[in-house]
Amino acid sequence: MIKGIVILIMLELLAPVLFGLVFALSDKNVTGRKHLLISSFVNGQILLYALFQPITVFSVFKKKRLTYNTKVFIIAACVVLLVLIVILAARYLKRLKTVLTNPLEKVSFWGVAAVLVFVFMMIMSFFMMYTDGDDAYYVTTAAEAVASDTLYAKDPYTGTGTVSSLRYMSAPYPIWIAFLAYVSGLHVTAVAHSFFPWTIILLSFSVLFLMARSLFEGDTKKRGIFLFFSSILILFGDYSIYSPENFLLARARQGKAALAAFMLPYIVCLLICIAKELEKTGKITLRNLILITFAGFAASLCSTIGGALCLALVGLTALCFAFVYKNIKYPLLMILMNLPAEAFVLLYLVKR
Amino acid sequence: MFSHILPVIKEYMGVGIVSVLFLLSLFYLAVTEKERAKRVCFVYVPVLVLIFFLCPVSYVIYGKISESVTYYRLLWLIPVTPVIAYSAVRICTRFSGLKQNICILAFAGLFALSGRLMYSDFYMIEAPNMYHMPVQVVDICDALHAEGREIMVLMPYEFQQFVRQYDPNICMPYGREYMMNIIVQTDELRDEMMEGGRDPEIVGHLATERGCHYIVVSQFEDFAETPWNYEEFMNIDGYKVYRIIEAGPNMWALQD
Repeated sequence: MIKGIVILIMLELLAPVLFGLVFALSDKNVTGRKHLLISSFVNGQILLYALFQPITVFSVFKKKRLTYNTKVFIIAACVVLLVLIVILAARYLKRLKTVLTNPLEKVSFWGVAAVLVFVFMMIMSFFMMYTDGDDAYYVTTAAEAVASDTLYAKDPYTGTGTVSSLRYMSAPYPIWIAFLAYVSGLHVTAVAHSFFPWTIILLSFSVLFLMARSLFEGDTKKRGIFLFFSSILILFGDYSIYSPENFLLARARQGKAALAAFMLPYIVCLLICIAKELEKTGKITLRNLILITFAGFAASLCSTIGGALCLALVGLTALCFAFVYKNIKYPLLMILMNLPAEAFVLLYLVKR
Repeated sequence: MFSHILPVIKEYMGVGIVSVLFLLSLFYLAVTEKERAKRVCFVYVPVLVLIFFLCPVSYVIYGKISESVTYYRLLWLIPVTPVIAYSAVRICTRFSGLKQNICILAFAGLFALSGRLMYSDFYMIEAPNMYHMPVQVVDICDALHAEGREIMVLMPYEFQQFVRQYDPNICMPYGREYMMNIIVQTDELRDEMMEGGRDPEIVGHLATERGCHYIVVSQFEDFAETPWNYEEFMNIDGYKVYRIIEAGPNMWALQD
């Protein structure tokens, strides 16, 4: 059990930080240790999701096994990590040292209050349960994958050997949960309901932290207040069963919760950074364009409609950029970079 | 088409105070925000998304790609929480010292009152275990689990959404699709159990035909007599378990 929890923490915390380090260091605005850690964590998770999506969709449609999918993903992740280490050594080692030696920034009172609220929500995700019927599909799909070493081979509701809906197969978020459970050796249901939701809450907080950094550059106090207000709005966000806040705190193990509370706010945050970049330099860096692509893939993992929602958000924002900044080239590039992720929506539309 | 879209908005808004706060924030930012980057992401794009959402063509296109019942997800493109929080920060930081802190607490109180505490939700309860499952489900599944084999169990209505999350080796003749009204074909066993008279003779025959190794029923909803071809096996957590006596065709026999 303890070993499983340690492995899970490594997969959910350490791995994203390692994978996201280069992306965090390639952002010139990242100057402090805290910012580096959180930016790495968020971008690394996006990268891991983006890598997991095409591999798993291929495995699902080719009727491969979970063990096969896990092996391929781990090999692919190791190759990517190797490439990232080479890039880090070649380009960002000096910057990493500089950032790590920078003194820790002050933390505002309201920032601490926000952290406490989020920690409270993370703890509550372990001790409180929310009964949601959709778990009978999502969590069972993950449990079935681990138990029978198959991917979407059986009807989750009954266990009879019928093919699952294509709608779900092109967004295999339950297989991510299955992967975490398989590698950690913990019971899938325990992972899905107890050991996974805190990650999404932490990711959601991290995205808000990055958003606060973009909105209030150099003003720790305003950032703290922003995070505090956001945490209160989330904590009391049960005004509707459809709100992203409800999904985050009640149904974090479902892909749509990750889409609503983590992925889409992440894309908004990325678009704010891009807007500032366009305003200052008239250009968008390759880093941010690549992140748009990854975000599209990651959103597709969460939900079939995720890729399309991502495109809608990027497309509408690009339209605004074109008018506001009188720039056609980069907004068009933004849309183009998001198009590969639409392959999963197309796959579903063609195959259904 | 608006007759389809408006109920979606209504349901998404809930009580509606958060939506009012969002619209006020949007208006405030539209009037006061000078930075173009923030105006684009927090004013122009949300307004465009709203227009896009209200457009009947979007509803039709969305319905083609996904299901119309999830049309509310288009509203997730609007960063409601960040927009409200950002506007509130801008208002609070116009003051300083004690006035600022009072303003922050007032906004926090307003936000708390505008929604509802997630943990006060009717469906949010204290988790009895790390599986977040009713204890009875865990106990019954553990008791019936057959290592390396799948078993077919007729489970009570209240367990159907939990059983296979905990133990996917337990199959069910019918599952949660009944609760969701996804009934694509007639199911005599399901109808007899859920809507019929729960006749022990009929249930026993149908359950044997469907390969059910066990039948689990609440003690409050027990059969008038033991179902045909089944015997009482155990009582556990207020539920009675019946075990098949003679396995039906295409069905592996249980061993003691």
